[in-house]
Amino acid sequence: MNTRRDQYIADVTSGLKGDPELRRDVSAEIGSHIDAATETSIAEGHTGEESLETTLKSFGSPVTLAGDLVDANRKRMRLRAWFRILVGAAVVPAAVILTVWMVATAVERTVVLTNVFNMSSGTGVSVAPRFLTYEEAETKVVARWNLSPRDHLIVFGDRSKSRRAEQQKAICSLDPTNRVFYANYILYRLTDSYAKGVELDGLLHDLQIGEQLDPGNAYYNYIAAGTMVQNAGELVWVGQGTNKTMSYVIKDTNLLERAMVEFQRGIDKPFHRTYISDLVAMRRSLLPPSENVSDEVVKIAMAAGVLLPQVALNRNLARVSKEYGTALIQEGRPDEAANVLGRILPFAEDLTQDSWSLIEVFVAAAITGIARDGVPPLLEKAGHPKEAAIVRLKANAMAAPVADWRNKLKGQDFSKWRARASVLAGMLLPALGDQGITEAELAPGRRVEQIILEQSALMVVILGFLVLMVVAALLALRWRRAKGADAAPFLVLPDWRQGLLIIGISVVMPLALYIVYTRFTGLAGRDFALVANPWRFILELAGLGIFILVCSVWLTLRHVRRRCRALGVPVPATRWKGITAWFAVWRSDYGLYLGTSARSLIPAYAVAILLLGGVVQPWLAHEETRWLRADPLISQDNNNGLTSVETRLITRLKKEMLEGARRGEP
Amino acid sequence: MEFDSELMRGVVEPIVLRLVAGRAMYGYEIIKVVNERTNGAFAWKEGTLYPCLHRMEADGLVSSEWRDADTGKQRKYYAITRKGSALLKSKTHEWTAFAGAVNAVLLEGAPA
Repeated sequence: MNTRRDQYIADVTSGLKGDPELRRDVSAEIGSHIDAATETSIAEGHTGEESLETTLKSFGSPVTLAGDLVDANRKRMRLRAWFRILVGAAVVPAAVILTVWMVATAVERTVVLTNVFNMSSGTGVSVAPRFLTYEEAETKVVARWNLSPRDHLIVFGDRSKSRRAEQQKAICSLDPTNRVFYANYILYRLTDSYAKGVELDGLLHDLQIGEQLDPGNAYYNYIAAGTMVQNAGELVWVGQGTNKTMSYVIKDTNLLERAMVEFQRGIDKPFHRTYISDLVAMRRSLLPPSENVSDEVVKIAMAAGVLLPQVALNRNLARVSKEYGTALIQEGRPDEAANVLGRILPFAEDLTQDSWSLIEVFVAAAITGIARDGVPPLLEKAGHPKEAAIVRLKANAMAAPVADWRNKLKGQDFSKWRARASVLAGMLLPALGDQGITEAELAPGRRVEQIILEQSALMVVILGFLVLMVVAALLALRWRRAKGADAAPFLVLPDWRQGLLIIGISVVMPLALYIVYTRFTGLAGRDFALVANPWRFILELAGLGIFILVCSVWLTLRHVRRRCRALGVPVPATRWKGITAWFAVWRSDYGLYLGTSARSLIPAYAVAILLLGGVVQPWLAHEETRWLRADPLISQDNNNGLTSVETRLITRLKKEMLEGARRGEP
Repeated sequence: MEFDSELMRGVVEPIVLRLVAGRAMYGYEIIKVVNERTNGAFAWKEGTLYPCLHRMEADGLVSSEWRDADTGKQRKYYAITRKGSALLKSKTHEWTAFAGAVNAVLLEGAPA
C-alpha cells in the first residue's frame, strides 16, 4: 500500500464520505489515474517517488480538488441520499408490511376454507365437507364485509340474544308486518322447540299471529298440523328388514283431530309459502359481490346453513294422515277417511310449488310417493275407486321425475367430470347428476382453482424473499460490527438500467413466459382439473418460484461483485471461493464484499416483493374474481343462494312434477 | 502559452464531449489526447478534468462504466449520451459562429 498516494486520495475524497459507494468510486477512478500516470513517468526514466510526486502535483491542491469534487458531485450525492432514504424508509418497510398483510390475508382465507372443508387428502380428491355454522359465517362475514347494523340484523338476527328463535324474531322489529321475517322466525321457533321439546301452546299462539299476518298462506296451518300430529302420537317402525313399515301410535285423539282440521284449513288456503327463497335473496342482496372463493364459500355455507325443520313435520303429517285415514276406515268412517286421504296429494303439490331447495323437492316427492303407494288402495277400500284412480294417475306422474332422476344418477360415470371440474364442482356434480353440463361451464371453476394455486405459490416466493431479506440483513449487520466504521459494508445502488435488467430477467421474463405458456399455448394441461394431475402444476410453479428466487439473487450478486471489484473491494477470485465465502460467516477474508453484497441484496428483494405482491398478486386476485363470477357451477345465480346447476335441476323437477299433477287431472 | 481561465472553462465541456463522442475514454486518456492534440497548449490539470466529468455525468451529458483495460486493471470509461450529443452539436455551431465573428473583427485589416 502506498501511504502517500492513498492519503492524497483520502484527502481529496473526504467531502464524499457521506456516500461510501460514491467515495469509493471516485477514489478508485483517481487512484487508477495516479497509477497510470506514475507508471508512464517511471517508464520515462523517473524514480517511483518522483513520478508519484509529479502526478499528484498535476492534480493540483488537494483542498481545491476536494472542494471541486464535492461541488461536482453534490447533485448526485443528494439524489443518491434520497434514494437510500427511499429504500431504507419506504421500499423495505413497504415490502415487509405488504408481506405481513398478504400472509395475514392468506391465513384468514385458509382458515375460512379449512373451516368449511376438511381437506382429507393432499390432492383434494377426497373432500369431506363441514360447512360453517351460521355463527362461524357471521364472524367471517362481519370482519370482511362490514355490514351496517340494519343489514347485519337482517342477515344474522340479533346475536346478543341467547335463543336462536329470539335472535331471528328481532329482525321482525324492523317491520312487524313483514311476512318474510315472521315466517323465518317461525322456522327458528320450530328448531328451538325441537331442541327443548315442543311448547305446543306457545308455538300455536305464534302461528296464529302469523296466520293473521298472512291469512292466505297455508304455511302456518301445515306447521300447526304437523306439530300437533307430532304431539298427538308417535310414529314407530314396525317389522324387520324390507318389510319394515311405519305405524302411528295415537296418544291424544282430540289433538290428532285438531291437527286434521288444521291440515284441511291449510289445504283450503289459496297458497303455501315458507318465504325461504325471499329471505335468502334479500340476505344475499345485502352482501357485497364475492371477490374470491372464500367469499363465495362463506355464502354457499350460509345458504347450506338455512334450517328446514318444516320438512320433517310435513313428511310426518302426510304419513300420519295416511295412518289416520286407515284408522277411520277401520272405524267405519269411509267418507271421512277419503277426505283425509285426499289431502295428501294436494299437500305435495303445495310443497312442490314452494320448494326452494332440493331437499324440499325430495320431501314433496316422498309425500307424493306416500300418496301413490298408500292412498289409492285405501280409497278403494273406502268405496271411492274413482278418486283412487285419479290419485294413482296424478301421483305416478308427479313422482316420476324424481324417480327417473335418481335412477339415472345411479349409472352415471363422474370420472370425466372429476378430471375436468374444480374440487368444489367435483363435490357438487355427482350429487346432482348430469344436468347437461358443458366444458365451457367447467372451465371457469378450474381456472379459479389454478389461480388459487398460483397465488399460493406466489405467497411462498414472497415469503422466501422476506426470509432472504432477513438473512441478508443479519449478514450485513454481522460484517458491519466486525469490521468497524471505515470498512463498513455499503449499499450498492444499481443504476436504472442494471435494476431493470435484474428485475426484467429474474422476475418479469419468467412470469411473462409462464403466463404465455399457461394461458395461450394450450400445452400446460389447463384443460384438466388440479386433482387430475396435481404434481404437474406443483412442479411448474415450484420451478418458476425457484427460478425467480435464484436468478434474482444471482444477478444481484453478479452486479455487486463487479461493482466491488471496480471499487477496489477484495472479492473472491473464483466462483467456488465466492460460494464458500458465504458459508464462512464468522471468519472470512471477504467480509466487506459479503457485507456489501448482503446489504445490497435487501433492496433488491424488497423491490421483487413489491413487484410480486403489488402487481402480480392484485392481477391474480382480479383474475380470480373475474373467473369466479363467470363460473356458472359455483357462483350462485339469481340471488337464490343456490348454484345454477342446483337451480336448473330444482326448476326442472318442480316443473315436471307440477306438469305431472296437471296431466293426471280428470 | 497560458489561456485565460474563463475562456478555458467555456471549452472544457465541448472538448470532452467531442473526444468521448468518437469512443468511450477514461480520464487519463482524455488528458493525454488533449495535451497531444494541442501540442501541450492546453495543459489540462487532472484536478480540472475530474470535477468536470462528474458534473457532466450528473447532468446526463456522459455516462460512465467500469471496464477491464488491456492491462487487466479496471478503468472508468466515459461515453457521450444522447443529451450530450445534442449539446455538442449546439456548442459546435455556437463556437463556429463565435470564432468566425471574432476572427472577422480581430483578423480583418490586421498587419500582415
